[in-house]
Amino acid sequence: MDILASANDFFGLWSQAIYPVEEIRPRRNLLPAAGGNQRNVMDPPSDAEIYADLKRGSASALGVLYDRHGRLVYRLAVRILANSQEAEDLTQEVFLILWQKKAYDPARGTLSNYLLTLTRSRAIDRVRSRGSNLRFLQKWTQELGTGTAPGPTPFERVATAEVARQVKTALEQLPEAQRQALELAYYEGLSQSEIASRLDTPLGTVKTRSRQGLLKLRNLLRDLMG
Amino acid sequence: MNRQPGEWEELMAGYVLGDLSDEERRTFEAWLAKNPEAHAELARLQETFSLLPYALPEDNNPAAALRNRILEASNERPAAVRRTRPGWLSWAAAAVAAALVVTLGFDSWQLRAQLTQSRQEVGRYRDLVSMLRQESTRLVSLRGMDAARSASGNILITPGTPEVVVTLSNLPVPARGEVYRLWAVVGGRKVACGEFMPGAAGSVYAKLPLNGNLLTAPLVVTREPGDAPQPVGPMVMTSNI
Repeated sequence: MDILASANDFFGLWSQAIYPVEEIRPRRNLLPAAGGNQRNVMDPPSDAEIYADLKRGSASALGVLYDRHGRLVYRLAVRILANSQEAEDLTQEVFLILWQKKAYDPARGTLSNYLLTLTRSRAIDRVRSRGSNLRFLQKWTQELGTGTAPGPTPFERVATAEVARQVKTALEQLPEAQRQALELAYYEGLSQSEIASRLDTPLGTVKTRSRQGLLKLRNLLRDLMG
Repeated sequence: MNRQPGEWEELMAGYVLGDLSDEERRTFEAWLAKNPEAHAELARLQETFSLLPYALPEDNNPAAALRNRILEASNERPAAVRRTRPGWLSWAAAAVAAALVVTLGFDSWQLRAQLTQSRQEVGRYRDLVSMLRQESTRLVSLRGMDAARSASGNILITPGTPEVVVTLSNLPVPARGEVYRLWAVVGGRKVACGEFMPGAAGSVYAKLPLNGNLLTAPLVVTREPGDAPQPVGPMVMTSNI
């Protein structure tokens, strides 16, 4: 046990130097392992390990976590807020909350889930406070190519891209009505009755569609989620 | 409550989506409480729902400068510590100035208090370091028990010096009128070696007169009514000899 612990210490230190190193293998299982330390010494440090550094006040750890998750947070913010400036402000807010409040608990889920949940709820709050009708009139236009970053980091390109590919493939396999109900629930934060009136569909039908859609998505992503 | 597995599954999905009626939610939560093995599946379903943004267009990225902005902002002091700015309205200026004087006065009093405390701490560390430098210094560690299980600390004893130093942490604050006493156990009898009280955070830094028994006998700490000449209270710490 002692040897394991000191090896971990050693690699814990060593791995700080290789944060930006590319993750070679896709993440198979997004949920934290229930127990046991099965980390391969060649793995880049996990989000939880880097987050532990962040809690000790390491600003470079914040930079690494931004490199890994910043784009996803931003994309979600843009999708909900439909405004790139507001989306950048919210992205900044979310990472500063991570930095200042240190409220993320790795035992309760992945960091990406925490950041996305935080982003989603804050973005939906902002849209609601804007006035509910304005939002629906806005066409989602995004000025591409102006002042955007040069492209995903290697870490993102492999790991996130793999997750993204699987999620996209799975969503494509859902019946259109189920996918639509799920996306309205997620991005618009609409209640099922709001969705029902928006789609002019009976409430019971909407509930069935979104529930069945979520269950089907979960089955399609069994490879990813375990 | 007799539902098919598929129905529970659907309720679980509804729970994640937040579309259960109050009654459905109560039913589901009661079922969940009795089926802890379902928690993992619930977590997976929640994670699945939160994966939706991964399918968003990947060519949509924040400005490269955002990273620096965030790192710079993280360097600033947290918002909670920032002092509120004085108001702009002239009628409030006097009040603001007065408040500022009070605030600054309080701040400087606080700073002085902190400085005094820091100096005391530095003095203590110096004492400890100089004791530890002496070869003859003996370190007896004390371990908490029962109600004071998380307490721990040491007694530093240097033969030839008049005092021993007791440093403990996480010692519960005793009831009013009670004190902690250190005893050397000699021939089954407890010999009093002095008393002390923990500070607000449960830490103790006390100097007690050196007693020959401290060098040889097992030591215990008890919690005692302030005026009891004999040990009557519970034992809370013991040395690891």
